[in-house]
Amino acid sequence: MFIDSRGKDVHHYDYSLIQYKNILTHENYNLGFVLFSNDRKMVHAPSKINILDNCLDLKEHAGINYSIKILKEDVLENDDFLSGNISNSLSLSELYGYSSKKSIEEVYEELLGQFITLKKLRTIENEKHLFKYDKRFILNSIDGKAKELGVRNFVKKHLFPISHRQIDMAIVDKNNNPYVVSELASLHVDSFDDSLDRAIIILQQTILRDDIVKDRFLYVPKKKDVLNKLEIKRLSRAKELTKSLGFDIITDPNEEAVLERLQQYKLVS
Amino acid sequence: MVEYHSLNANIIEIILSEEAGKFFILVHAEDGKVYQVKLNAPNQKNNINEYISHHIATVVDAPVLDAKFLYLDNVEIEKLNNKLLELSLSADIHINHKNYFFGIEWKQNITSVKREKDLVKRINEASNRDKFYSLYPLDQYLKNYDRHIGNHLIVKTGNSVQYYLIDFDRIFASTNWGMMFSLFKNFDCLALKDYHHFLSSLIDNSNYDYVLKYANSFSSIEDAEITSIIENIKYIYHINDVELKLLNEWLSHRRDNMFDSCYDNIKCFKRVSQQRFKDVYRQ
Repeated sequence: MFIDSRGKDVHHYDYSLIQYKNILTHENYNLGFVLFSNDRKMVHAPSKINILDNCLDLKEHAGINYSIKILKEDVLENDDFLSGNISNSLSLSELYGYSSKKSIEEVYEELLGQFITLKKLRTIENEKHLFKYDKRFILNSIDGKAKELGVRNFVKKHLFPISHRQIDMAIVDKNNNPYVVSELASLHVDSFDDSLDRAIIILQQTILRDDIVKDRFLYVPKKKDVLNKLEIKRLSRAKELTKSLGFDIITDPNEEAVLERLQQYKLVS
Repeated sequence: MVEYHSLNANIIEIILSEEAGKFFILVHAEDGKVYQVKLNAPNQKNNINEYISHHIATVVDAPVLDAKFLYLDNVEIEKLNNKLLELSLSADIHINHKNYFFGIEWKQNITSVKREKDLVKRINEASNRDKFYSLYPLDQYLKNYDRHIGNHLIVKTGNSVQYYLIDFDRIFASTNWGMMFSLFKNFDCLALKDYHHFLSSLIDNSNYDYVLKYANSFSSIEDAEITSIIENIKYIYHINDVELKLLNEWLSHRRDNMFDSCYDNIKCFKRVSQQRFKDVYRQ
């Protein structure tokens, strides 16, 4: 008998990296992290940055120490987590997902080994696929679902030959021409505003240049049950923009729902 | 008189803001410091507004960061134009017709306040905490409507924590001076946004004196200082005479009426005993 034991006893954690950027040298270091479980949070950050003097050229110790103190206070004293800049050099990354059967203390030790080796940010960016709200991650999930459901005319990252723009999702005809298109902007990441602006421009351009496109919409999946203030603001901006431009906006987080919406327009042969 | 030095500078990078289409550039100047430059957006006066505010703030001793006029040579300007094009960003660079751009020092470890509830805590840590109260008359004088929580900065250098005010590109109630004529005699309470109500709630009997003290300091802005602002703008930017005349009138008229208006504006601060202060200052 086959027993599916995937996910059994697995705990889901989120973590955010505490990152230091030197604007003149463009160097980035991970100075620590914040780790969240459902009911606990742990912060790892140097209490005195001076201890890193022998390996890093850090200026203005007092300023960095003060920023770290503020960061710790903010994380530990508040229920909602605010990613982004703490100072011009110190920031908290977006939240990354981390699944493990281990306890939060053991995961803390794992993260310590993985990230507090002062790797450059480039390395961290390569690991971005871990982030469950990342646009690429969501697109891959939709692509996987399309394959699973046998939606053969679904194309991820279609390149328009005329406008030379790449669109996130398309339903194509037998000649591989897209007639339904959609752009995705992930609500839960710091780059949402840039992503939204690009999506809107691309959707507008498909109107101007590609007559064959019959239906287009913006996809902003709500991947969390409860949105924070910033996410509500972002979503409201996306809704206002799409309304003013006459596009639909879809927020259903399920892959099947967006695939269903993509296939709503029926091409008459 | 407030003096501004100019320095040669090179562009480091363009930083995109969370607000779509908004950005600023970071430049590395010959004094070894990094400066933040807000370019004038098309038909707007962001860079000019930052300069005017900084000059006035310095005169009345409000807490602002060091600033300079940064010179970008033609190679840097071309680099900037190409970068803007690449990122589909627009800016009116030619209004700075001599390639000088006003820039505010960009301190690596300066920390912005993220939550309203933390502002008082941070200010109380600052050794220049009394200067916080300058923001009320300063924002009133300039009609700066943009004093949200992110525009209060704190930095620790050595043993000293300092508080700073930033982001003045939306003075005169906008970035393009379009409201200037209709507002230059207006001294109504700043109560348009939630953060205005929050800021006025921080003023009570124990600190209202500081607000009035700073309001009074506007009276001592000399004519020569206003002339210097106008002359600097004429030298650095392409601005027409009608706008300059209006700016001159704004700066002079509001200076002359600032203290009386702020005294009347005790009503803007609900936690201040209205009659008590009226009586004290009537004497």
